[in-house]
Amino acid sequence: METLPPESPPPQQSLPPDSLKKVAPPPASLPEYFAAAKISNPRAFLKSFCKGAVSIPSNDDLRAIVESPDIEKCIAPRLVCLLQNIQVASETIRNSLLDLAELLLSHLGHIRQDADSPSLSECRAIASRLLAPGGRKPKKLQPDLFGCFLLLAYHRNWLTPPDAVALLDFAFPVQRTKKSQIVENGPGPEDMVLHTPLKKTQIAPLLVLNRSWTIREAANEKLLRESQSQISELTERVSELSATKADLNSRVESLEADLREKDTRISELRQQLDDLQTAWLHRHDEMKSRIRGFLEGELTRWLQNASEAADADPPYLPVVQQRIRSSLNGIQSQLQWLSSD
Amino acid sequence: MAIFGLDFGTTNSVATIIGRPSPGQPEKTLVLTSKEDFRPHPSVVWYDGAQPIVGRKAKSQLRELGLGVFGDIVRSPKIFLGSPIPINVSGVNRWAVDVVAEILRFLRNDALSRNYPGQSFDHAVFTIPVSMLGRARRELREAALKADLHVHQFVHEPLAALYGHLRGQQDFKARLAQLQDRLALVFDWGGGTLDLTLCKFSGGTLVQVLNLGDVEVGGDRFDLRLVEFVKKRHAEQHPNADWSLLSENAEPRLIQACEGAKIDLSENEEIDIFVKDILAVSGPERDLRVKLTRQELDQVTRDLVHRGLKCISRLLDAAGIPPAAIEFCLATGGMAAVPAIRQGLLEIFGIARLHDPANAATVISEGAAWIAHDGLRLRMAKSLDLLHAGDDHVAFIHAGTELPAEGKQIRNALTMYSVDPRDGIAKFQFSRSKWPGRDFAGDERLTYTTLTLDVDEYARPLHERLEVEVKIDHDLIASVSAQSTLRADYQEVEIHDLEFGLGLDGQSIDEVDEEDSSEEKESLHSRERTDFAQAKAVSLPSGSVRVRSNVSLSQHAWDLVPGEIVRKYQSDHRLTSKQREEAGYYMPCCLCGRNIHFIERDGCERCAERGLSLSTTEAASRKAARRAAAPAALDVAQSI
Repeated sequence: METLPPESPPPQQSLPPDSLKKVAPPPASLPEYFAAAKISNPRAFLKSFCKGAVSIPSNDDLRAIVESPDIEKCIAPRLVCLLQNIQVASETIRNSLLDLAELLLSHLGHIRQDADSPSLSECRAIASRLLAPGGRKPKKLQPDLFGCFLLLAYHRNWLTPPDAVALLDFAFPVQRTKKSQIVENGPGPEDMVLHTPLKKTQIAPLLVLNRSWTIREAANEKLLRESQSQISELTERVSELSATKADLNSRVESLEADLREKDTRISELRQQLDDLQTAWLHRHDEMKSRIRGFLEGELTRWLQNASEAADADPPYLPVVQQRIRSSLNGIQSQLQWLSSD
Repeated sequence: MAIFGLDFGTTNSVATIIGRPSPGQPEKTLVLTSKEDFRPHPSVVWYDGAQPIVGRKAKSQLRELGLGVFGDIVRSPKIFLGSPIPINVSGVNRWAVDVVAEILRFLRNDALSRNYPGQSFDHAVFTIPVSMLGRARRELREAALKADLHVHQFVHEPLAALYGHLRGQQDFKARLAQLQDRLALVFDWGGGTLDLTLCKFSGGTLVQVLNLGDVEVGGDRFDLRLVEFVKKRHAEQHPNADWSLLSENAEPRLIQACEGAKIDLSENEEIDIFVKDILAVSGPERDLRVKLTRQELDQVTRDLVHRGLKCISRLLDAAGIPPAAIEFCLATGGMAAVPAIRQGLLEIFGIARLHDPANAATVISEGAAWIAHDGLRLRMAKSLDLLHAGDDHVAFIHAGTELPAEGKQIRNALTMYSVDPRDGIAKFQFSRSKWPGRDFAGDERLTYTTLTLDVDEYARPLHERLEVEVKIDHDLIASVSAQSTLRADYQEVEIHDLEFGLGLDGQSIDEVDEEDSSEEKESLHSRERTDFAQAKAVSLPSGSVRVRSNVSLSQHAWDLVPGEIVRKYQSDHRLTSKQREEAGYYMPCCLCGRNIHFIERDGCERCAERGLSLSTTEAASRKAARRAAAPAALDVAQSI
């Protein structure tokens, strides 16, 4: 599809030699287009058609064109050019052109106008008639009428793109190519049908390319299917892994919260431990200092004073008594403190 | 960072932390008393050669009672903080900072030696006496840093004692709520001094209302009296005893015996004192044997007790409140247990209002620890006001402003203008109200400082901008600076006696490390302008030197410019009555050419003819009458 051909040039073979010398005014209607001595650019004509510069042809106009004596020489090739550029035309113009092609072919007796859509086999039969009309002596190929029919069938959806290519292949049989001759990036069937001049010299290599394209397309489709299958599997796997990841994330969060809680608890317990240790150490210091202070301080002072008073000459008994009494009271007081919590 | 409380006292010092004895139990104070005798550490440093020895061992070397330097011993080095001269200790000059640092280092090492987990003992709330001023606070912080201690915050001892006493109670929050707008008296009678502080619970802040101290009635004085009494009694028993023949260590043993007797007499009616071999003689007078009764102790120390208790009435009289207005009296210090003193306090306050806690010796330190634990902050007790030209006051730093902790400072700046620059000097007087919350017209005020600044004497009034700034640092010292923009003079002065209280509701304000933002400055300016509008006229105590301020906050305050010059610059200004009076005073009389002062003093015949003044004869007779009524006063006036 990348190799879109340039705008279809007008067919060179039917131009009269003097038409190049003077510039004729552009055709203002479809009959004028067909009656003109020089063929106009079909794409430009269709664009001006769409802009309203060209009037929509009536059925009588179409019939008049069909009844023209130069059907095969002038009408058919120009109609093929128009049909090959029909994608730039509006729906109405498209229908007019397709009606014209249908009218032309029915006028020539190749198709029946009021019949249903022909099947592929009927199309082949029509193509056979167009390519080799009945008679003992085979007639010359009528590629323009075949082109009209092919494009009509394609645009009327009587043929699918592969059917259209098959019909082309039928019309322009070529020798089968080797696989090694398959060229990458060949044109698609639509391009081939719509944009290639209907000459065997041009159609034949394109059909070879198309064949290789078809094989490659099939391989690609197979690869695509496999890839899609793999993608599906992988997507499923991703989903599973995402679910697992979400579970694990949730688990991690839960564990982190748990860790934080435990850290807090550890801090609390550590603080409690510190508090208990501090309290215990302080209690221990307090007890030691209190007892030591009492023993080294008051009790020693009292007893020493009592001892000195007892050793004095004469002994100072009231002091001895008082100090011993104070000592006893002091000891009692300390014992009371020790027995408290 | 655990912050502990430290009571660096005059006679004893002790640190306290807050701990939880066991999970679920309420927190309580853990007082780090001496591990040797379960008492606070004596604030004594003994220089044994170059080796400093601190605490009980140093105190045991004391041969005398009292505070200060005794040979190579320094007792209560805190009292020397802020002094510009060094202490001479046994011939060696030592700075008080270094001596204090020895005690603080000793206290910190003692605390660290306990190996309490999580306690680094490097930041403390320090308690200080109310009388300790800024320079001493600054040196105390310096000493602490030398001992690797950071002063997180200072707090006054009575405030710490009150908070420690209340915080130890289970329902202390409810109790604090009950005490709103009530007064409490902290009666701290220790070994060195008696300090009374009247405190008020006011608007979430505990502030000191009035403080009174007496260094002449400390516990040492009682011991000294007792020693003298015992010696006298011994001399009576042995008229031939020669006290010059004291045996070795006799004096400290006698002091120790008397201290013990004083304590024992709080529980006994009488006690016998015996000191063996007090005199180095062989007779019966060698040993001291004296019977001492409580009555005798009371008699010997009656005047001291009376003087101490009298301080209460002096304080209350000065505050103008009756004893009944005191919600409770918190008795702390070792002397509160002396029966005569306790009895005196009971007579004044009754048993319900006298709180003498069992932890009286350590309640200050415990309060400091609670303050550190609860994160309480100091606040301005009274506004730092600036006298305005309209004779009203502008609050420069508001009462209740939270004061900075370590490493912080607060600042405020104002732009002012001189209303009368003719003498080339702008006068800034900073003051505070005498009583917290009493800054109405007529309320007494106390002056912090006065700052004068050179200004451009040729500039028109209200033209030259004067930038005034006050900064308060973590030592609670206010630095006041002023700068004149035209004259480019710069003056700075420090205020060391700011009055501050303790915020009880834990609210805080933003502090700055270095510089205020301009928005903050602007908001402060606008706040001050509001206050200017609400400023009130006040009175000073009689005898005070009165400064007439010539600075104004507003550049358009032409009402405050002296009347005799305002017309020169503002011809269409409508003079106030005061300005008219001023203008008239200096304007010479169109008849006699003299001004009103001389006309009123000496009289004027020409003015008298028109009935505008006294004649010279009438003025002379009036002067004579006045002289007869108050000759002395008149003489003084004339001499002036």
